[in-house]
Amino acid sequence: MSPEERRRRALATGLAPYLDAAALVEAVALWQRDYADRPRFSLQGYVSELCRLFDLGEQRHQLHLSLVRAQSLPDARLAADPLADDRGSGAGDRHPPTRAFQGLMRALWASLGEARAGQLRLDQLTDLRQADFSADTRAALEYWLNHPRSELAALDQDSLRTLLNRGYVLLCERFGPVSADRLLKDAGDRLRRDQPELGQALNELL
Amino acid sequence: MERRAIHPAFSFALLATAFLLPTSARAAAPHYDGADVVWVAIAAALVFLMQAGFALLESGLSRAKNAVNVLMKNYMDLCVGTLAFWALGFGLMFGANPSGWLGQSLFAPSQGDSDLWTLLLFQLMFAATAATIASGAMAERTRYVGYLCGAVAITGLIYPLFGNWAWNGDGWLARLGFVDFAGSTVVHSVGGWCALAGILVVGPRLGRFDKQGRPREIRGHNLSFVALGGFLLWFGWFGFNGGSTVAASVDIALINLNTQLAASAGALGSALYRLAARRQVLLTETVNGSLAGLVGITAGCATMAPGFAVLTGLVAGLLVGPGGRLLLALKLDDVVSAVPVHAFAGAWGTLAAGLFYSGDLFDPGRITVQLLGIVVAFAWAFFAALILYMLLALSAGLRAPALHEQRGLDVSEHAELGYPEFSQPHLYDAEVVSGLEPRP
Repeated sequence: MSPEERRRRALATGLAPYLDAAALVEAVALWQRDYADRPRFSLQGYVSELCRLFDLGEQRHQLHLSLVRAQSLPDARLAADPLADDRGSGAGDRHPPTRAFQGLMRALWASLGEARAGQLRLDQLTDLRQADFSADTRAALEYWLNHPRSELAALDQDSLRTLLNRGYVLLCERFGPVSADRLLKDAGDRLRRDQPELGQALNELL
Repeated sequence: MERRAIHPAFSFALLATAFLLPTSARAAAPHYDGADVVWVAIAAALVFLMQAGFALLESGLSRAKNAVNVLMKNYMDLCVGTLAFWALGFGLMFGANPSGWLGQSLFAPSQGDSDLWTLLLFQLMFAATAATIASGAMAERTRYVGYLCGAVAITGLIYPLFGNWAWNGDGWLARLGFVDFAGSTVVHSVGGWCALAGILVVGPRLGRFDKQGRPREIRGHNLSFVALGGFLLWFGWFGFNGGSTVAASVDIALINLNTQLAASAGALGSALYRLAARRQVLLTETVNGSLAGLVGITAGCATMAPGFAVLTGLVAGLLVGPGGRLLLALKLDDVVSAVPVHAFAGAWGTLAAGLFYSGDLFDPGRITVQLLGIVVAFAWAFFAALILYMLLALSAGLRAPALHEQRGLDVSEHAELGYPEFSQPHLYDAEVVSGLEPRP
């Protein structure tokens, strides 16, 4: 087990009492994306961001303590690495918001047809360069848009919602606002029909 | 009958009240009798009903996901506009005016007589009308609070200052002989120029123009509302024009006949334009044609013969189609064609009031004054509103974020749906809306 994997498992253990499964994946993905590469892991900053993102301000102290304690637990008592699958091909399978986003975009592309879907993905790739995403997020998205059959790595809900909105703007520009509304609705309806378990995650993305 | 002949007397009455002139002096000022007050109160209610007409027309011409927001803007600009005009606008417009440019008394009036209350009530409705014109033009992408701040500034400052110049007995345009009986320019063009400034600053709706700059059709969601709104506005206009006598006078007969004739001719004019262009006659343009006819006749309804009222309305209606296309060519997104209907037709109507003035047709001096008034109205209202909306864009925020346009302003601004139980062409049904976070 690498030090990084151990750190993720410790974070998952410390966060588990405070977050549900989907939010926990997001939180660990946030660490992986924004904090893992820092020379010195800033737990205070990470906790602050978690409190802001998940409205945990009142439990900040307990959350901090829980994370500190989890760092010193033996391996056997640590939770599983929530991003373990992300390192391989099963990227978003355990993260409903990412699955919902991915499913929605695929349904959208399917309804557009290959040629127009390809144009839209090119638009999205160009648009990514202007978006305010971290380098990791941008790299993950670029890879996914260039390989649309691959799995998208788990991303936090805010990023996914921003991406969806930027996609909607591109749809408006390319096909007009009336068609954009219709395409988005058809894609959403299709996702709800084919994968009803993602309905709630889709609602939270909209 | 010229409206400017009314206001000097009224201004005198107000001044007599405001400065507590001796009783003998006050006795010299004309007073409204009971019948006058009853008629003006009814006319004010008719003008109030025009707000419902605007609300239906604008909501119907917007997409379903923005219907509530349009209604809310119409509802609330009346409210904030009423308070702003009472507190500030009325004094700027009808207060003592020694310079000819600015009223200096009658702010937030709380003491007065029935004459004051009569005119204040009627003028409140006019001010609210001027403010609400911009809402339709800027619909579907303008933030609620930013829009309402603009409505306050229009009713409290932009509209009353021009109104002072044209309708205050001592206003400099009024003294030149400017004819605008019920407000083709004072109310409608001023509102229309503000709308033009608004759509310039706020920009077009997402995807309104393609990458080559060609406009895309974004149809309104309920054309029955559009027609009903048109009927209500037309109905209310009998109070708007007829009430501007500010007296239960026999002049109302000609005024309201001209109003009816011009509205009809306006609808016909817009239809003729479509037919001449070998296109189908649209309900939306026909309704707007009748409104353009109404706007056009508002300046000269008391001072022109019925035949000229027909001509005025016809030309106003003819302006609607080309006016709308001109805006699209300039990549300006006016959702309800408020600029052609109110600004362009208002300017034409003001010119027509000078051209067709009964007993003094085509008087070059009068026409020059009318043109001056038209140009001054544009220069003042457009640039003042442009600065206003730019400041609002930088402060309170004017353009709704793209996420709000995606969700629709009903959801993002009000957390409500206009049609929660109907299938919609977008994803935001009652279930989705109930789970959304509060407005950022």
